[in-house]
Amino acid sequence: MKLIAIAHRAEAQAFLKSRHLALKPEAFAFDGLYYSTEHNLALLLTGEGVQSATEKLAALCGAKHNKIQEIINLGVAGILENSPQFELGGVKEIRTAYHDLGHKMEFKSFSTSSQTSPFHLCDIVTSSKRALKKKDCEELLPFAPLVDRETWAIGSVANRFQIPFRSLKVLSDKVYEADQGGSLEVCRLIKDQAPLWSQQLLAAFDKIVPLEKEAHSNNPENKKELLKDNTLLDFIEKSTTFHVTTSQKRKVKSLWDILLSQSMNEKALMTELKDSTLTPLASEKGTPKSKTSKLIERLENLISPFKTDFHKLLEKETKALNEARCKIVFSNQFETDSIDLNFTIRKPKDVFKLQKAIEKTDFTTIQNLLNGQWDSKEMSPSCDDKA
Amino acid sequence: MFEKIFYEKDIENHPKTQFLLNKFSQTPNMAINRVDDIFGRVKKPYLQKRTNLNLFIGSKRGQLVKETPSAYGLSGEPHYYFIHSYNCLYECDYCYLQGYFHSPDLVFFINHEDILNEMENVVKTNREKGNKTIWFHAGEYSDSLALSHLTKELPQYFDFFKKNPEAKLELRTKSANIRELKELSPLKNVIASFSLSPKDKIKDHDLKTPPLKARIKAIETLKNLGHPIALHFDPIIYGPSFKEDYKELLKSLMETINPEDIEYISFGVVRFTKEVYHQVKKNYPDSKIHHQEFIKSFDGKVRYMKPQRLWMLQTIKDLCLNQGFKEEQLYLCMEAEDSE
Repeated sequence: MKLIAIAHRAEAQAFLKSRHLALKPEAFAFDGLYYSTEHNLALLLTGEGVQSATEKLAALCGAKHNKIQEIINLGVAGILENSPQFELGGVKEIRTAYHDLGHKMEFKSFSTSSQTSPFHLCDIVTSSKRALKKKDCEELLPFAPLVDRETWAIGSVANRFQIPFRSLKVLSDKVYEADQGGSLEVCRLIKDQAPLWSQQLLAAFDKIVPLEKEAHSNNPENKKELLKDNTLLDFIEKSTTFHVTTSQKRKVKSLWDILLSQSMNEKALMTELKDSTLTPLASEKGTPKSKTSKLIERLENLISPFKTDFHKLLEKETKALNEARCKIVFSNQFETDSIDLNFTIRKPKDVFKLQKAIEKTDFTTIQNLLNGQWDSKEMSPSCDDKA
Repeated sequence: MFEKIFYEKDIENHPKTQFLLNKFSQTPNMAINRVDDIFGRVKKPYLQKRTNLNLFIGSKRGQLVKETPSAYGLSGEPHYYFIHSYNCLYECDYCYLQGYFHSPDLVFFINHEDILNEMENVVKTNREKGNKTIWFHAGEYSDSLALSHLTKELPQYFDFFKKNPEAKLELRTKSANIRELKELSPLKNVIASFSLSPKDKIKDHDLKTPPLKARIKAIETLKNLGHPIALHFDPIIYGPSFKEDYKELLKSLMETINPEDIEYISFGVVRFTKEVYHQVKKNYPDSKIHHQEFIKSFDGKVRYMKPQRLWMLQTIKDLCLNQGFKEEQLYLCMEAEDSE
């Protein structure tokens, strides 16, 4: 469901009257919610100001947060910047909303999901009071060229509920000229023009928001998702050599994506993998699940040969201790080069076993490994003792 | 280039302010009291630098010259950095600036006279202590050369370092913008130090920076003019062909310069504070940097596991030694000391 958030009924009138949208009042905890079953579209009258917008939108998102896919804030905005880019009646799409608390600027900002737009993208300051004087303009202009009363609040709630939001504004008044007409005059003018602004908002909304009926068939993202396959996963799922568990499936998919981003040639990568891994694994002994584990290991090695080499070397150097069933504990993430040995002595001959294993183990080599002192190509730790 | 220019009222008539306002005469500008009144007051999304980059011109206040973290530069000598600019035009996806200032806008501080006075004091103090060499680094919060044709401060610094031969200046850059340097007579104690990575890593991570070829060309030009050169292999990022990539990078370099032409090379493996790593994820979700296997290391920073990062440093160091660089030309940015 898409949700339109508009402060005033006057700004929403074109939407509420639109036969095409067919919005009907919807019972909720408070008045001002409308819903169109035909388009799976809701409209909420948030009321003016940060507090009212936050309260009403948060209540609705809390009640229906799994159903709301996108919030579209629509409304009027005052112009702070005296520039031909900002003309009365123009439509702007908002990029980032800031918040003026009255005595200072709120640090947090909220950005919309709009990366591109048929409209000019710009920032807005949501003011805690109506910006009607030139002085307001001077204070707010360094942060954004437009001012309104709700966008930041809508962004804040959308962010809290992790719902993408967009915002379109019709430019209703020039704040930088505000002192010339008086504040009451500005408010009256905006109110008189409301039907016109509302029509413009509806036209702008139609331009940027595909309604649900159209959305499903035309959304290229949907098609992309459907078409997005995974060659390797398809191959192994069809093959009788492998059995893939859900977690393995996730792992294979993510590793394959990484490899693809590194090589960019899916066909060549698949051929290489078939020759080097998939075909040999088919003739190897082992369960289908263990073969998938080996495949994952191979994919990891392709992405990070270091890690595989490192673990192989470590295994080689600690072989004697492992065979003696002496447990070796490395520091967390190998952050230090010390090791703990854990061995249980049950009989006197166990002491001898441990002594032999320790004698066979070259701790300098192990520490060199842990300190990165080895050559990956030769796969042998450096003799240079820096441990 | 800039959406708006903000300048501090009391430096409106400074020649550098006037130069910038004239240079960008079509850009709307606004007088403000202090840069800090606006810059960093609100969280401006980092990637808005692509569409809505502002320039602030002001005076740097407070401590103008600071001691560097100990990982900086050759050890055993005092190192300082000075700040004449905030932020950068480039977009390196690992860059710590994206989590630092809360705004990607550029700030040029133009009171270089004050900075130089403080540097003079630092030189005096160190002279009294008997220190023979004192290092100054530019480019802690910006690229030292990328916008030098706009900031125009280099001649002032060259004058200072000509008069203070025991002091050294390092100009760190990822740019190939050497037009200002080319106009200046080389000084033994002013070193242009270029950050380099293998060409594919530059393509993947150093967004909007000049390609490797252009940087090497700039190195060659400056070297031929007699300017001292240093190199930074930092940040080093792992890949399946890591060693080969650095071999190739060194090979390309050696086609234009000799090891003895290089003052020093420093190495550092990619690392992030938790906050910066979070920003990287947010700003560059598709970056190949996320294919790397990082861990949270001993100091809370996000890094490769220790054996891997030490191996990477050692591998590149060995490659440099094989190319004929001397041990004393090479230094590793050791992590225990690294506070970036």
